[in-house]
Amino acid sequence: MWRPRIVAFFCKWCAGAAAEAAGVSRMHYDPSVIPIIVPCTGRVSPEMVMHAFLNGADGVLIGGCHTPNDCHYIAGNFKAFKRIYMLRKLLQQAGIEPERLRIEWISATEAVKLVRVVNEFSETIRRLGPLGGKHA
Amino acid sequence: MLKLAVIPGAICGGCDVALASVGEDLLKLLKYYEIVYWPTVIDRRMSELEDIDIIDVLIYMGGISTKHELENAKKLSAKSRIKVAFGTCSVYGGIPGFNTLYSPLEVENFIKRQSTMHLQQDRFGLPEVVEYMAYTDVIEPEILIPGCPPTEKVLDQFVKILIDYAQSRRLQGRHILLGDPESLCRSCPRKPKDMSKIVMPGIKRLYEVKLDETKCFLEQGVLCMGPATRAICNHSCIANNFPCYGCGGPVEINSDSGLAMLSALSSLFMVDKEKSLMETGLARELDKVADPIGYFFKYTLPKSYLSRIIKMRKGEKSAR
Repeated sequence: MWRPRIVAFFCKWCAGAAAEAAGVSRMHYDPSVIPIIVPCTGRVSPEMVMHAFLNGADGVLIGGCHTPNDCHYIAGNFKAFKRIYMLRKLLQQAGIEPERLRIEWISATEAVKLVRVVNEFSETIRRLGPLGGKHA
Repeated sequence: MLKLAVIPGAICGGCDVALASVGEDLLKLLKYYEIVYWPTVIDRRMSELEDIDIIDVLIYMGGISTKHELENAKKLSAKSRIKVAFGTCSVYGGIPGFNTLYSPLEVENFIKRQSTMHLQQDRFGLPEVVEYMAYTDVIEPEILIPGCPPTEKVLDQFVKILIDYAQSRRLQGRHILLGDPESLCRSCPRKPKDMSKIVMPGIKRLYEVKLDETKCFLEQGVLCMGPATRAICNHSCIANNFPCYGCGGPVEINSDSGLAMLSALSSLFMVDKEKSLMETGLARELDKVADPIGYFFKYTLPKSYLSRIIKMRKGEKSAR
């Protein structure tokens, strides 16, 4: 049976810490997510997202710090928001569902929200079906 | 004498004119090269070219959009020593690269719908349309010349390389990409003093703003592809008060200039106001980029990540 494959870029300070907290508190979430911790969501370049899609990801989730004041590097999350917003527009214009790309603000304490977002997102990707990348 | 052939693929004619306008330097080339095929300039037949065993320098212009062009490109490249992809279409796909958004069948139907009666009655027959690709998708050329059309700056480099090759029979390196290995902004005459402090005050169309001819376009809210484009020209557009459209392609051969520009835009766009605008309308301001594919990938779509994802997607759909 086909299982979705989701790459998640979490920032080290907020969403990454929330993922850690979720693990420590023994919360269950969908195993189709592969989390990658980056220093800041502002570091996630459009190439990284597109590369993930090309290499088998059916969806890409980006988790960063809450706006406007939580970013450890002051304004990285704004840059990420703008990049992902433009990328979604690009995907939509090319006929690819923009729902496959999602950005969400999750603070270090919001392990519950992280679990909810991840489950919601993998449910969305299940509904949309495979994108067609190479599955190893 | 070395043999030089110029093969036109799917071209508009601009590259032909650009190469011909090298002018007196072409005469220097004639000391070493015999032009065996160049439909614009000399009167030779394709059949004569087919009789020649080895072509020393083959200059391919334009992309590949029909089966005939594809076969031609493969056949002639196989017997060529130095292959040159001339112009953005043959290196990155160029403007006809938007064809990759559609299937060959859709393209063919579109041509039939749009064209004159003769074609509709199929009196002459249409050449068979294949999936559009750049010359570099089929062949690995030794020299790559981006530009739409290639500018004086790269043509000078090219002529020097050709003369050098004729004398020493050796190329300096494989896969030579002409132009300077830096972005256009580095040498831009409108470069602000501190490039790290550029702030883009929203997005404006050219008719909405009275341009200050000494100030950076991005600082005036006009989109300019300079940050993501290879320095292949002497800023002829920018000097004439027109923003760069990115015909030089990406700075490095395998990067994606569209995504690089998207990233650059995000880093510059309203950075001073993003905090207050985030809740109320940062997204609405970004929506003013009305046609992202048409803008960011005007010249490089067939070589972009996006087009590869679209292709992958088509494969998945037909498999189901």
